[in-house]
Amino acid sequence: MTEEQKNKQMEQREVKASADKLSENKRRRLIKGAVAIPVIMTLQSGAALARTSNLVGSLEEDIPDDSTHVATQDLGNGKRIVCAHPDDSEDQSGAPPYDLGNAPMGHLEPNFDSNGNALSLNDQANNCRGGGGLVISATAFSSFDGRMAGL
Amino acid sequence: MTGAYWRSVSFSSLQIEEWGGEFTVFQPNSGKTHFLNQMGLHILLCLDRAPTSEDEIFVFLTDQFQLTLDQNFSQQTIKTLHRFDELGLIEKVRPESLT
Repeated sequence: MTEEQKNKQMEQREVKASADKLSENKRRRLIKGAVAIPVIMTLQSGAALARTSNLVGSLEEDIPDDSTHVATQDLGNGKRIVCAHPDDSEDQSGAPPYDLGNAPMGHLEPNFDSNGNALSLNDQANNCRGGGGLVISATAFSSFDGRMAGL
Repeated sequence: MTGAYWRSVSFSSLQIEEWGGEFTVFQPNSGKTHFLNQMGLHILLCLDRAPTSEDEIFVFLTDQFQLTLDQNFSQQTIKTLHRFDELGLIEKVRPESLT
């Protein structure tokens, strides 16, 4: 190893040591900063967390007939959109997400019109929205775990 | 000017656990669990000993944690005192009850 290479290697070591020192100082500042003011945080209770799970977003996009994203149920006569009802007694000013209240309600949209013509999932979704209902995701629906009344 | 006096409420009922220099405090009266850093807990300990004025709390904390007392620190500490008060962990003491 030449003298020049040795010098370079030594310089690199010094830079690394300096960087390590800086990093350590930053960590110390962070730790000191954390204790420099009193901190209190209150953990949410399980009941409160469960309550917020009745907040849902609505699907506003077009729903293709092969969608697996939207909440549907098939009672033996074809897929029907789950139409959830926002709870009017809850404050919905922050919607979305919408609050379905303590006892989530919903209905299954008809998949035939009054003339007996089949309705696509998208038609059903539009009917649901037109009646003030919410088209929700399959994931959101499954979070209610059978607790949605009216279905 | 010494600021309001504060004291702890039902401190003995609190269930306190240390987690690597920080603390979880279960408050049976409300069923809530709080997370406090060392300074937060020191405030509760201080107020459990005796009713203490805000100025005395500032001095106690800056002394314990070797900090400089400035306006920002005082404001942050007062905010925390009010938060403790909202949660029912401490309460203001009427001046006449100190005499």
